[in-house]
Amino acid sequence: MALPPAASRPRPVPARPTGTPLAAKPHHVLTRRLQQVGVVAIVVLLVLMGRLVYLQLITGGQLQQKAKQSRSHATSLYHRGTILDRHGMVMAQDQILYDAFAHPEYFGKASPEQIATAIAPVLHMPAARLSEDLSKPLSTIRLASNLEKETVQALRALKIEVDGERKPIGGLDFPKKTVRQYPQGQLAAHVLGYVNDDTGVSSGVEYAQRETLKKAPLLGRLPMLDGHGQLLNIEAFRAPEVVSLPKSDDVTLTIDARLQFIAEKALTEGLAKSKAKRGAVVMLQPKSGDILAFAVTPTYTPEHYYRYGYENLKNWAVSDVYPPGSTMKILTLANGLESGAIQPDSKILDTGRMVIEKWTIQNYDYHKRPHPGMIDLTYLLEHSSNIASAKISMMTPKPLQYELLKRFGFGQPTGLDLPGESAGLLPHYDTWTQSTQASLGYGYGLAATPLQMAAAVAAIANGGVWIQPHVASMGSREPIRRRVLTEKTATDLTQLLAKAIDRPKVSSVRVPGIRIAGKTGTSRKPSNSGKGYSSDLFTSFVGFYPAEKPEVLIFVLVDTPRMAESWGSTVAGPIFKQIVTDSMDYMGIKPMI
Amino acid sequence: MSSPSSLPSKVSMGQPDRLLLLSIFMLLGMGLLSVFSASANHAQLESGHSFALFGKQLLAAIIGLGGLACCANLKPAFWQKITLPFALGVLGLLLLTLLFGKTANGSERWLPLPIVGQFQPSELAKFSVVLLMAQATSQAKRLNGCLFVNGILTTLMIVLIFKQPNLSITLLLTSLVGVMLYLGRWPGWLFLAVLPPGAWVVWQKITTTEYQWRRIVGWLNPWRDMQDTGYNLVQSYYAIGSGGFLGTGYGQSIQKQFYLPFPYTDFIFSVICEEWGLVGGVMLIGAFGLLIWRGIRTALRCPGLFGKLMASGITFVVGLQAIINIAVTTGLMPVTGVTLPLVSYGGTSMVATLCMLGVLVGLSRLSQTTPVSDYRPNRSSNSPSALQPVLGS
Repeated sequence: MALPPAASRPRPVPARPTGTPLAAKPHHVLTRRLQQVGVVAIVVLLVLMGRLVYLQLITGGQLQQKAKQSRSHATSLYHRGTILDRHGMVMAQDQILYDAFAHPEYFGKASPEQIATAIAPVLHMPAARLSEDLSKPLSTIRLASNLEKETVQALRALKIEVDGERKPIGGLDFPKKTVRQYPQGQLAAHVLGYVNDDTGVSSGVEYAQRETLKKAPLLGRLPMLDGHGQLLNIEAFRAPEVVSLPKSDDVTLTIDARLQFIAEKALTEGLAKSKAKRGAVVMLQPKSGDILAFAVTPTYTPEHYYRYGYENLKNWAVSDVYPPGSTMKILTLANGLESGAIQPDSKILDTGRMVIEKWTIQNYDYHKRPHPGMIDLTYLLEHSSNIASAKISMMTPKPLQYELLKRFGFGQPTGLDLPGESAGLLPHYDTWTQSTQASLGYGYGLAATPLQMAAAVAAIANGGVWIQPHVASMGSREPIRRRVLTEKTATDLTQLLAKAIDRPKVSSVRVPGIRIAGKTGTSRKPSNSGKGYSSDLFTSFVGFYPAEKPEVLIFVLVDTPRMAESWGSTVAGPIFKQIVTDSMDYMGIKPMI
Repeated sequence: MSSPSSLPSKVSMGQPDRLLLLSIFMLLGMGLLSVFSASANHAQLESGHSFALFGKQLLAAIIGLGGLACCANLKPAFWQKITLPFALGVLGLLLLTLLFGKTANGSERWLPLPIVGQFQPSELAKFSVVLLMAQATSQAKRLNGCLFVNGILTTLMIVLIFKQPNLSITLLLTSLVGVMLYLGRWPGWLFLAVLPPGAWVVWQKITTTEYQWRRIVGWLNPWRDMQDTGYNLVQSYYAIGSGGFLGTGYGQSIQKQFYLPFPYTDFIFSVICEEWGLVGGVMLIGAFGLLIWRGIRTALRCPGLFGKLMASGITFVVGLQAIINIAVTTGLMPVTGVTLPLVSYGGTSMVATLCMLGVLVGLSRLSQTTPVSDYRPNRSSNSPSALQPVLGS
């Protein structure tokens, strides 16, 4: 027999006859080798202990934190708050739904065909397709999504015959999940927004009011789930908290779902008629700043927000700016009257066309009326005179005009409770040239969001006090208010606006029996290159009524109408009129005949 | 078969090794407590009684302790005698398992039995291989007829277990055979030569079997696929990490509540680490260390080559299984389905391990009364080296 290698011998043993096993030798070898094995064992055990020290002391804190996070699933332990309209109609709510999965490994002796035949009628799916799905060589198969509780109960109660015994179906799993539902479909999508807690995505009120909607209900201590998704330490909770999933606080909107519907319907129809790119309607209560309706197209379905592109998802009425154009003339007059540059009965010389710093400006109806002559403010509003507006603007002292425009909310976000609001553009008066001030008079040289425009005109309707607009009820908090004009200026201006609407020129918005104060606007769209203007238009109308005691303000903006005669009075005006007419009865505003 | 190095028939038995017994009772005590804590939720859910699984385990422990007491009174000569019939019996049971076995996790490891319910013959195979190999390698000649016969029986056993399939026990038994041959004075270079092709075969097997390859991937980066291949390990990390230094307290493990896949079998060590902290984990590893130390000491002091090899084999198979289980739960090895001896839930394993350790205790009783220096082998008493003390400690 071969000797063990020299190195492993206990000591040199010379001249030992080979081939003869020595009784003692196996003991020696065994002893030494056993000692080797023992040393290896000690080393391995020390490594294991070292590993424990590493896992429990060095990384223990991190692991514990991760474990806690994975168990708490805080958001799945209580419902997100409900969003209600101003009268308590549900606009968004959490609902518990179930998915259905199959795990063929646990089917036991039941065949996929057998299971498919049993569950097909409950799932309202063809048995053949289910059977095909169930036969796939996968460990987990998704059968259906978003099942109601009743369906899941029915599936759990199903029995199939295996080996002559009726047994419940094995290998079916119904994980519970909360799904955000928007019972009104697309209604007020741009106000409500969308939410996906798993990916941390949200917008609209869902985003802006997240602190309220996700506020953890008082549960005593942080609840945790076991591996099956059941609450741990149930005895630590009070019975009602465990029986029904607790809910965070609700958010009540200032939006009135009915008015929202009327506004969206009128806007959609108006846009279809004018083949426009997009449009927005803001309907608000001037005395409170409550937004009653906020319609924005293109829109989307909040439940399936992920199917839409950015153009649909963004609320461009708060994020995008446009040159206000003629609707700005309301504010030009307001500033003129407030500064004393003009009086309600002032007359201005309208030359139809004029040149300022090499720039020629002219009235839109210059070809019809080349030289209107001395015109009053009503005529200015009725015919939307650019020349007269530019002149009034230039008559107002720059710092005061700038200050007033600031107070009207231009060049800064309104503080609306929706995300993504833009500040708009209002250059400082230091940079104004003669032509800048002139163009400000008829709504160029600055850029505003549709919302800023609505809020600014609302200040006039509210007796000269600007109020921060909002879509969610502010509760005990007060919206920001600031006086822009004296009450007299506001009343005088309202009368002028109402008188102008009474004139035959803008009959498209007139509603019999209701005095409306308002102004049309048509502005050219800045070109995509950023230099100059394109041939596309923004047409708008802003109006409030009844002029005697303004209750509602409606602002309509249509982007790029493609009708033959696209003006504020032909595109935006009719939408305004439609909303007024449709909402009259509901709002209790009775025509005075 | 002649057994030149076996014990002289007249050897009286002394006191058992107290530290060896201490390590066994420590492990048994910690094991029973942990099995109750870790199995209560599952038992409650499955049978409506939180004591259901603990009760079975307690019963197995009591039977096992009875077995331990019996085996501790038997001398090596007895084990010599039953080696062959025992092996044939185990082979028969393994064959029956393969034919009529119950399936668990895709392999047939359970043999349904009346009264007992079910039982895992592969647990008996461990002791049988220890006996077979101890007998074969304690012969005077390294190559002998006994090795041939026992080798064939051992191979058959391993093949049958491999067929179940139970790769972890197959590898455990193969390493046991290897160590027994090594201790039985087979040249060291042989093992170095066999290792690379052996490793290659195992590697081929793993890389071509999908579920085994997925285990490797899940082990290498458990965080990448936490919900699937890395799930077991990540949950085990969570449990161990949550324990910290002193643990969350007995019964307070959260990971046992349906997060850990097998909290009272394969991953019971994670639950112990969560509830008892680093202190408990080190104590448990220490208890195994004590058992291994006293086992090796018993082997060193035991008279007769057969007894020595038997003691070594028992110590090795219990110790290696514990090390593999702990290494798996702490992420040092890919996940294999090996339980923690004396601690994990499992009736067959409990009874078989306790009986096997009973044999070790019995061997420790011999070493006390017959120090090696007093013992002269019957054959080579003329050899001077036979008188050399071979104390290990």
